[in-house]
Amino acid sequence: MVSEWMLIVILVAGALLPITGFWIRRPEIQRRWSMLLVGVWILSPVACLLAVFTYCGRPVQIDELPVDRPVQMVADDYIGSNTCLTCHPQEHGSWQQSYHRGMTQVVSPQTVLADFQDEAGYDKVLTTIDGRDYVIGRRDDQYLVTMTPRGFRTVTRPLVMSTGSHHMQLYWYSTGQTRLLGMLPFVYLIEDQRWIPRDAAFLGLSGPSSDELQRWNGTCIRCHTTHPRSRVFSGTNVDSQAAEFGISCEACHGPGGEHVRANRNPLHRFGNYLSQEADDTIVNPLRVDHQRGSAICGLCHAVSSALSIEDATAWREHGYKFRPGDDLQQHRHLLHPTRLDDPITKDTLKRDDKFFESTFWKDGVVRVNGREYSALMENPCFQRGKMSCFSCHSMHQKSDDPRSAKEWADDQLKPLMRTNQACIQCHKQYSEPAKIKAHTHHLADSAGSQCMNCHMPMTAYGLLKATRSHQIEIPDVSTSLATGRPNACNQCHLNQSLGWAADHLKSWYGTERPTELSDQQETVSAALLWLLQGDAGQRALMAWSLSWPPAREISQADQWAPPFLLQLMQDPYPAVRYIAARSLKALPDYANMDYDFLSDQPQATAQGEKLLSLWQQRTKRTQLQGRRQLLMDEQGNLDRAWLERLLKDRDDRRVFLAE
Amino acid sequence: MSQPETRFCPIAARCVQRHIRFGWWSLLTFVALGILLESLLAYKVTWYLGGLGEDYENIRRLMWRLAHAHGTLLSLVHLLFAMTVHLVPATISQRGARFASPCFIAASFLLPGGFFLGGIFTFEQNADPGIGVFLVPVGALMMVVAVSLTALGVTKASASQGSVES
Repeated sequence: MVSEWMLIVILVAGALLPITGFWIRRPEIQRRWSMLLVGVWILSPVACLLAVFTYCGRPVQIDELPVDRPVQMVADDYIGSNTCLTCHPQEHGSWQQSYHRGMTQVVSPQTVLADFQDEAGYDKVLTTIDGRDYVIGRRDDQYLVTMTPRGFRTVTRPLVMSTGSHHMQLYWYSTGQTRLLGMLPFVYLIEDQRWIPRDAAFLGLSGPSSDELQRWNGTCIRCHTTHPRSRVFSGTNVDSQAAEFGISCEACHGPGGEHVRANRNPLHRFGNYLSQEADDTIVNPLRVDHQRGSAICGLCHAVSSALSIEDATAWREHGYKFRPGDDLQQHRHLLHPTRLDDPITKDTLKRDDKFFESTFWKDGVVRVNGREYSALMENPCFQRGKMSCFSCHSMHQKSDDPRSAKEWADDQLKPLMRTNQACIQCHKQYSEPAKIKAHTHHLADSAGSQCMNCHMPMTAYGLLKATRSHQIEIPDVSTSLATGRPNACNQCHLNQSLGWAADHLKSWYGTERPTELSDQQETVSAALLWLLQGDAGQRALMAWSLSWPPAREISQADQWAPPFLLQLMQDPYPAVRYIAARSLKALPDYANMDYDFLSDQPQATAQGEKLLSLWQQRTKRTQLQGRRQLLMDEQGNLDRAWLERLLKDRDDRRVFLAE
Repeated sequence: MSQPETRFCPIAARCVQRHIRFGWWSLLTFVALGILLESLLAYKVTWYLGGLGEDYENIRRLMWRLAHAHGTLLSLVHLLFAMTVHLVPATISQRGARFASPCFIAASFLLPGGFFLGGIFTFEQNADPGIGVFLVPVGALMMVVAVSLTALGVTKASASQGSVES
């Protein structure tokens, strides 16, 4: 057929004919030359058109599908985000900037954020907490891991997929057995530019490290891809597919095939523009009611399970039947500790009696990051009002948004939604500073007058930090006593006791004062009690709170927090140690401290003692004299005997938070 | 103003005829291309509008729009050149000046043709135009030569006409 070079020759001939003809003198040859020119002139557009029909309309040549990892394969009218780009470049562009896009990626030099070489330029050796070595390296564009699985010979496998691109990135290797993946048991912390064992990155006590074969194929694929089909048929017979890796357009808008077919017709498009009606060939989450709109997020951001074994089996082969705009509860069972009677919940608890402990506080408030829909559903603003995920969040950054794309992408909030504007959208009475001040009893422009600081406190845990609870609540000491969940007053006023908070809540709002407060709860800082006696989740929250700027400032934590953070830096849970060390580094004098949260216990203890004496030298004793609520004695020294007594009552139940 | 004198100059008359024919047929071709591009836009044809998720404008679309624009304007330039020769036949009285005519025709092949070709075959999934785009600078050179020769020819013709009249 017509080739590129053939067309070039035709065009060059068309250019050369008149020029060479210029020197031809004999009229009959000139005539032939002219006729030739006319022929080439006619031939050129015809040849170009032929080339267009031959080359431009053909489908993009797809490389042969890899056989040793999950693949992207459109199905069930899902068509992939590239098609959306044609008509929606701005929306596609902002999605490109989001971390949803990079949730799952094929490993390549463009997608890998981690360092695969040591300082000398050699392959890097990573060691798990239980002492197993993994050697990672790069050969041209290929990333490899050499390891010795238990009971097997040393093998080298390619790392083929990654998860995450915001806080952490994890990598998955091809097992070489169908599309089954194994997990490299390490996490790369993007901000710290550091590898840590996976067990240290999540809040749980580390056991023997595991490559968690099938974890990606059976679990991660559910929410980290668009239209996933797990297709795990047996241990090593795995054929996992997804319409697209990452959370892309069709995860929220539903399959786009019908929409594309309909809108190729310009009459259909302009009919829609002129009628200003919603295009019913695609779902716009903002146009469905607030409950169904939020349910789109809820498919992944909720604690849920399959409706039945048959349902789970069908999902494994064909993916979710749920489509954006559907009623989520027709397709998924939403688990909640306040609804223990339903059979699916009973069945779940029969398999794992600690299931709710890993996700909820005792009263059913969500305890972990990433399950916000379960919290949202419990809010009166959602149940009786119209609050939805999209009241505060926007999946696309608007063109008039003054923030950088990176700033928007961090939580994907609408402009000003970190301020009181979020609540004032409905609760307009609090738009006046005087009314805010009268309500909060704090200065109108202070952190104490930020609606969210009191009503959405930082009591959820995930990604090595505290995040806001999405269940709107009223600060209450009784709830803290019953559930162990820090209340907003004491999470900010870290140097004050539960009794102090109860007194203020009673005098300001008439909240009934709990009668069962112990002497310690009346007199000792609530934050310190949670920090020293709480479970690992509470300790992690307190370790984070001690470097939370509003709390640091109002509590003057810089003066007294270091010895308690040093205490947490010897915690049995690596994640708690990591957060405590990070909080301590945020304080003046400790930014360059030499401490590794993964170091051996004796080394950590010695380092802790050194840092404690540094604190004792640098802190003005007079400011801490007699502050018994902070465990300081009359000379302003830490009362270590008291601290040890409190530590003896630490809640050492095993905790695993399923973020 | 003096009457056009092409009928007394067969070379000029042939030149005018050639460029009028070429100009109008060329205009028809590139107007048709414009309609084709409009249709591709209207029907949201992915291989014309689409990219692969990058910020750059789709190179095929850019190349073909440039081909359409250059082709259409060059067609008008041919008609303008014919009119110039018709009004001032002495423009091409010099053999050097006469060389402008084949240069215009060559530019009409190379400039829009190069752009169009660069949009059919592309590199790196539409990140760069194909090698056909290298015809464009050659065509541009032809265009510069043609315009220069015409400008010189018209200047000389005006000067000689002025001296005859005086």
